[in-house]
Amino acid sequence: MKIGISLDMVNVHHQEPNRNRYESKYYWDELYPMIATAGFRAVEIPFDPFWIFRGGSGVPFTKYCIEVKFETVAKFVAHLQANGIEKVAGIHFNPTIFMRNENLDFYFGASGYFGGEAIRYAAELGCDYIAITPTPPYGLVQHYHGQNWEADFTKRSIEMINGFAKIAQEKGIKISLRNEYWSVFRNQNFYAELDNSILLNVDAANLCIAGQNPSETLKNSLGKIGNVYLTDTSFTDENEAWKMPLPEYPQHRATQVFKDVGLGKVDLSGFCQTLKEINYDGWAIVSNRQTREPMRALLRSRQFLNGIR
Amino acid sequence: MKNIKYSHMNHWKNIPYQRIDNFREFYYEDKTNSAYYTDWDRILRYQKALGFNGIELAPWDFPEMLPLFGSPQAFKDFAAERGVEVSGMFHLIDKPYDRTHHKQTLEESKKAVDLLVEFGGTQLNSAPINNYYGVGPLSRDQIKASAEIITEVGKYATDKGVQIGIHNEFFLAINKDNHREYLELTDPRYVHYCLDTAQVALLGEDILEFYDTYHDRICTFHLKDTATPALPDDIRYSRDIEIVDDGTRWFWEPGEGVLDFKGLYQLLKKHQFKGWVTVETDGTPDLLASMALSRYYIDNELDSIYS
Repeated sequence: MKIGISLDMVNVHHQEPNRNRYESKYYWDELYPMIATAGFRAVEIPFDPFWIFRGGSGVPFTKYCIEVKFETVAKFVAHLQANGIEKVAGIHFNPTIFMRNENLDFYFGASGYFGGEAIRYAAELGCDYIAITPTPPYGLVQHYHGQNWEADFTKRSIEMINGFAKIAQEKGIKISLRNEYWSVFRNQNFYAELDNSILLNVDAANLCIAGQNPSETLKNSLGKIGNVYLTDTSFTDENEAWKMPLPEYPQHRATQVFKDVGLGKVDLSGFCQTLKEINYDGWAIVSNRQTREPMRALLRSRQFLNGIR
Repeated sequence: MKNIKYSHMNHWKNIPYQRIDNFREFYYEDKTNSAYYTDWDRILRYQKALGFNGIELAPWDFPEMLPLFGSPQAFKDFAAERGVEVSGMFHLIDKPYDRTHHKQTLEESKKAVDLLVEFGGTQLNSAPINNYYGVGPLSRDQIKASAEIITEVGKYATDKGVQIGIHNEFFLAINKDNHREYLELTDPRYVHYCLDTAQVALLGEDILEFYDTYHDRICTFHLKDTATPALPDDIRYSRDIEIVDDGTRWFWEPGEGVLDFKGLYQLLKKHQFKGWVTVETDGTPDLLASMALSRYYIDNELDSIYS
C-alpha cells in the first residue's frame, strides 16, 4: 500500500482567519516541504476550475494555474520533487461547481469539458488515477431542478462518466469513482451500466456516514478498487443532511463532518488492517478536507499513521 | 438623518451555515476560531455591531448562498432581522469590447440587475471590462463598444431602480490611459461611477482631483486604502496580478495606507454626497479586525468632517 495526502486539507472556499494566504503562491511554496517533512512523499491534488476564472492562479488546482506560475506541468512536478514530494498520485475532479443554475445542458457541458481536461492533466502529471465525484450533492441538484429530474440526470451522468472512461483509457490512467454519502448515486445500483475500466474509490468516512462498513466494502470490492481514502468522522446522519444542498454542513446542528484523521470514530486501524489482509497495493490517500489548520492536520495524520503501523 | 450610509463588501467567501445554535458545542469540537466565521447570523451581527448597516454581495457567493437560503428574498429577510440591508452587488461587464458578444453581455447583466432587485439592493458596481492581460491595449472602437454596452445595461438598470456604477480596477483593460475617455463616452443619465479609492489610486489617478472633476457621476464609493499608488504599467498590465505570489497587498484598511481620506471627505462635504459608502478590505487576513479598524478610523477621523 502506498500512502499519500490530499491537498484538500487547504480550505480555499470557506471563510476562516488567514484564509487569504491560500490564494498566494508563497503559501504553497512553504507547504510543499512541510508535507515531506511530515513524512508524506506523494500527494493528491483537487482539480478546481474555480481558480481559472478569477485570477487566483496561485492556487495550484488546475493546469492553467500551474502554467501561469511554473510555465509547464513538468516544471511543477520537478518543483514538487525538489521539495521532497516524489509523486502526484492522483487528482480529484468534482463537478459540483457547475451545478449553479437550472440549465442541465450547462452542467453537463461544463462538467464534461473540464472532466476531460482534468484527466488529460492527471496524465501529464504522471498520476496513477483520477478520482471522480460522479454527481453534485443530491440536495443541490434538487434545489435547482425541483421534481422529476433523477432518471434523466442519472442517465446523463452515467453517459458522461463512460465518456471520461474513454479519455482515461486513451491516456492510460485509471478512473476511481467516488461515492460520497450525499451523492445522487447513493442508493442506486448503477455499476452495471458503467464501463468495465472504471474502478471504485473506497472512502472510509463517507461509507460510515452512509451506514456501510468500510472494511466489508473493501472485501466486497476485490479487484475493483481504484484508490482508498483514509478519512475520519464522528457524524451520524440522523436528520438526512445528505438530502440538503450543503450536506457537509448539517443545518440542524453544526458540526465538523470530516474530522482530522484519528480524531473521529471510524475504525481506521481495522480499515488499514483489512487493506493489509487483502494485499492492497494501490494508493491510500489521507484526506482532512474540513480541517481547521492544514499544518496541524499534517502532523496529526503522521502521528496517527505512526501509531497504527 | 446622515448623508453617508456605510456598507461592507462581502469578502468572507462562502459562509456555510445560516445560523449556528449549538455554538459552544461547535467551538469545542476543535477549539479554533473557525467557529466564529462559519454562520451568516454572526457575520451580520458583527456588521451591525460595527455600524455597517449595508452589505454588498459578490456573485461568487451565490452558488452556495442561494441554495443555503433558498432565495434572495430569504437572505434579504434574514439580514433585515439583524438590521442589515443589501446595498448592492458586484458584477463584471464581460467582453464589452466585442460587439458580437454584446447580446450575451446584456442578457447576463440583466440577470444581475434582476437578482439585485430581488435582494433589495440598488447599486450594481460593475467592473467595466476584463483584465488588461489578454485583452489590452484597446482600440478606440473597442473603447466605444465598451461604453455602448454598459449604457444599454444602464438603461435597463435605471428602469428597475438600480444604479450601474463603473468600478474600475488597476489591472483592467480600461486603464489609466483610457478610463476618462471611456467614462465620458457613457451616457450620464444611465451610467454612474463607483469610485474605488485604492483601485483608482493604483491606476495612477489623484483620487481627490478625480472626484472633484466627476462628482456628478460618482454615485457610491468603495472605501479602501493603498500604500502603493500609481503602479507602473508593467505591473498593472501583467497576468493575474491582483493576488501576488509573495503575498504583497495592494489594499489596506482606510488610514493604514497613504491616501488622503480627510481631503476626500472635505470634497464629499463640498459636493454634499449622499449615498452608500462601502468599506472593502479585500486581501486582509482578518476581515473582522479590518472592519473594526475601519470603523474606528471613520468615527475618529472622518465623521467630524462629513457624515
